[in-house]
Amino acid sequence: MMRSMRITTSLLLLAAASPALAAEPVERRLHPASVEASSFLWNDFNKFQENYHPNYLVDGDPKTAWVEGAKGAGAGEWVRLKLTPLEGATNVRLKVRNGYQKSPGLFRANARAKTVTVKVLPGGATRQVALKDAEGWQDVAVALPAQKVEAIELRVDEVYAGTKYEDLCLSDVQVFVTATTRDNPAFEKAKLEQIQKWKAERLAAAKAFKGEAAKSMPVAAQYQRGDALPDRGDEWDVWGVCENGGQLCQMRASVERARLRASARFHGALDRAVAAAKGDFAAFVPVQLAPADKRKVPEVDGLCAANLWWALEGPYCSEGVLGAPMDGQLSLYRADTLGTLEVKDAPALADVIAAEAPACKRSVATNYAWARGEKDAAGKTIVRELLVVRCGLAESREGEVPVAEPQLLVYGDDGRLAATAGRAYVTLFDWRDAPGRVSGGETLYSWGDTFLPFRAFEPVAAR
Amino acid sequence: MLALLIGLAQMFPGGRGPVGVGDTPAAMLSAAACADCHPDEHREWAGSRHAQAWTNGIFQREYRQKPGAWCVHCHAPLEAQHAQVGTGGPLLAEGVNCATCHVRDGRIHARTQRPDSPHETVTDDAFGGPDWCGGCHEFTFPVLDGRGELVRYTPHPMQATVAQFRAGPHARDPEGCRGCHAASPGQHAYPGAHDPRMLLRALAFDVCRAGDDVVMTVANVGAGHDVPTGDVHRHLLARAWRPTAPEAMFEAFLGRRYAPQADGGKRTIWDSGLPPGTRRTYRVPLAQLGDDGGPLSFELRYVYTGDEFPRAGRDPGEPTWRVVHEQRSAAADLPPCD
Ligand code: HEC
Ligand code: HEC
Ligand code: HEC
Ligand code: HEC
Ligand code: HEC
Repeated sequence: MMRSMRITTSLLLLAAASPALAAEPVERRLHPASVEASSFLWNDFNKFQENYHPNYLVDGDPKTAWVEGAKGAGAGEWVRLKLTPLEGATNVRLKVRNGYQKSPGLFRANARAKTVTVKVLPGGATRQVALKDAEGWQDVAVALPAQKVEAIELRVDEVYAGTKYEDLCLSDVQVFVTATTRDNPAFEKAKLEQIQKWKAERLAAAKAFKGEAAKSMPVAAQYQRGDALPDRGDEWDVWGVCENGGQLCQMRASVERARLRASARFHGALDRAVAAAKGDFAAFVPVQLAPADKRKVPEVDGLCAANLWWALEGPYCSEGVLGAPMDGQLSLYRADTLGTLEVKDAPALADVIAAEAPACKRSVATNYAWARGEKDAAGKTIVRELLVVRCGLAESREGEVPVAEPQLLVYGDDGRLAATAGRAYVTLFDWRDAPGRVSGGETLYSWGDTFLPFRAFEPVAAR
Repeated sequence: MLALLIGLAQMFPGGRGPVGVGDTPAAMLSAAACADCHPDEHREWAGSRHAQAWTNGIFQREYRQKPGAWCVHCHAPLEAQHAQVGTGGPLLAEGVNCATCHVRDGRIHARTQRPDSPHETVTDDAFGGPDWCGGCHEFTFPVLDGRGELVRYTPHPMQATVAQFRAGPHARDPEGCRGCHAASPGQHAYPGAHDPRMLLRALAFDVCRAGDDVVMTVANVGAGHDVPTGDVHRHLLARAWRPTAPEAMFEAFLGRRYAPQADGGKRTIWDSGLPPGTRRTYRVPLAQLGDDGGPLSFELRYVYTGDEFPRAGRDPGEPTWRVVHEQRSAAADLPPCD
């Protein structure tokens, strides 16, 4: 029987450790995969979070720093470092680079921490420590009665004022915990690599959005997921409904599901998606996509583009929201930039979905497309819904296998992208921003069946 | 040899199709039909990987990516099991069961017939021998069509456990594979890499100090074939690190890597697995591990999947790795290498 894949964390697997050394306490370094903060400074200098974000506390680079973003000199601001959960922790040692250590000038210009309260979670033990007003590393240690540790919080109580700016900065924090849980170095190393990858992506995004090009980007610098919308309690599972395969069946199940859960303003788009899927796309004609603008939207904005890999591994996005237009193609955000040409002898949809069309057997992936258009007042055909199926060879355990991944795109009356749907996701787009950018929306992940709102996340006005 | 292979080919089609049991009453297909009279065999089988060949999370995760008939031919081989693939069913869940290995045309197959056997048993000396196991445990990379059905086999080995056994020091063991894998009282436990005791039996791990270096040695001392041998993703990791500097960890990969081929299959392009009776050493400069001076840690880890730490949504629900050996010591306390 196929079961739905639940979204669970890999950390559970750490419990599989065999005994032997596990009970002996050892001091080990932990790398947080991300850091939360009460606030951080976000302005035109770091539009893509190339700096100041709390993650920069743990990248090991003194040129980057967490810079708090609240009003005032920083007292009361905090950062929380989520760690691999450990049992039997008896000591927490922190190495800290206080202030903004990019240069001696910036160190003095910005505020530094003077006293900090270290809190060990989930137990809540606290200890106030004093930090020196000096560059370089300094050590802070908190001894504990043996307990579980899942996170460390640092709250700034007092600051050394900066000569020029009010902002409090911390360049780096390293975490060492003495505990009995098995030391799993590869896991910690992988988390550091995740931070480094995130950092590289921030820089790449900044580059992609530089100058004039940014004006035509239909997306914001970043999107953030909100909290899951209330569950309706009706158990649902794309695998159970469609058994193996049946991607279009799964897509239909997903849009029907989304229609039950989404906010009313999206019902119009979803009704059209349901109708298209129910009608097996019979009203769609084969088209070729020939957009004038061939740019791609960078992945890093928190909207994950559908891609060929999803055909093998299922839709997946580590931090962001699933279901941005196929392969990140910018032109797919608006019906008037699609550049569709009618084609005569296109392969049948069923053959493309089954990855049996000739182009599906090539290593360079091909997009096949089908569109349903309507004539506007001037007699011009406007695309209302588009079905894109990307197919090609993907490497699997046996060799290179032909695979296909479909995505349905629904356009609103204004020609802007209103919804996308795949075999286990539906994403609904709001365009409330003046310059023509997606301002947020709602998304359904049917693996794990969560329904999330998301919104554009923008820097505050330049300081 | 040729005649033997033809005879064996009749029991297992080697992934070319389902296992046909000919004219066998449906009631004989389930392990439940044998449990009352063979409780010991049944109990051990039920706890074995053969019984979990269809249901185990690692297989299911990989199968789901591209569900195909070819996989079913070995992981739930009976024709009657194939018929349950779309809907699920109790027979499907039995994976490689008694009937798959023992029943054809309503008759029991075995190497010998026991004196008080009530069965009309077909005997064959080769039954249960290495080549017989090879009906499922020895095969080459396939070329599959869009539905995951076998188009043809390529010449490149995908699992070569029997060939490795033949080339190794245990080739003449009279009990063949069963001497190590069917040594339990009920003879049906078939423990392998998912059994920590088997991993310990297979692998020795030793650490010593040579000047400013540490030397790790990994040896296959107890398996009758390479370690790792079976599934393509299996690998070992030998690691040395200071707990205070995980980012400077040294890691050696023992396993196979593959490259897609023009013929549509894959080929092994790298194999650092350990043939039986062989060892491999890794010399690591201490300075490379970070100079903090804390204790050194070492481990030998067996990983079942390509991804040691599965990402969200890819967790198979069973361990993806197991630590076989581990040790911790100050550099000064390591024994000198001789
Ligand atoms: C009515 C009881 C009974 C049932 C049911 C039964 N067996 Fe047996 N079987 C025996 C006995 C008794 C022997 C001989 C002694 C022994 O090995 O346990 C035997 C022997 C065997 C042997 C060794 C070869 C031989 O003939 O001596 C095999 C293999 C075997 N059985 C398989 C099976 C399988 C598979 C099933 C289920 C399809 C099954 N048996 C059902 C009683 C039974
Ligand atoms: C992976 C193949 C395989 C499976 C599955 C399997 N057997 Fe066997 N079985 C063997 C082999 C090989 C022998 C040894 C042949 C011999 O000695 O005649 C054997 C021997 C036996 C014997 C003879 C006595 C003994 O214990 O060695 C019995 C009885 C038996 N099997 C019953 C069963 C039953 C009942 C099941 C299901 C619960 C089962 N087998 C599942 C391969 C298998
Ligand atoms: C009908 C096919 C078939 C036959 C015959 C068969 N096996 Fe298996 N065997 C499998 C499959 C499939 C698995 C993998 C189950 C899984 O998914 O973990 C397996 C698993 C195993 C394992 C456990 C591997 C692990 O990693 O834990 C061992 C050991 C094993 N077989 C040994 C044997 C031996 C020895 C024989 C011959 C006596 C034999 N098998 C005959 C199909 C077969
Ligand atoms: C000398 C003892 C011995 C013999 C003979 C032997 N094995 Fe093993 N086998 C082991 C040990 C120990 C392990 C556990 C280490 C490992 O997983 O590689 C193992 C593991 C396995 C595994 C699962 C592990 C993997 O690496 O994927 C399979 C499958 C297997 N054996 C099949 C066979 C078959 C088939 C034969 C006969 C051709 C055979 N074995 C002969 C000792 C033996
Ligand atoms: C010709 C027989 C055969 C076919 C066909 C086959 N397998 Fe296997 N498979 C085996 C055997 C034998 C083993 C046991 C080897 C081992 O334990 O390492 C195994 C083991 C595995 C394992 C490791 C399970 C574990 O317990 O760790 C996975 C995963 C797997 N197979 C997936 C697949 C998938 C997916 C397919 C189809 C694409 C497939 N297999 C087709 C024979 C086969």
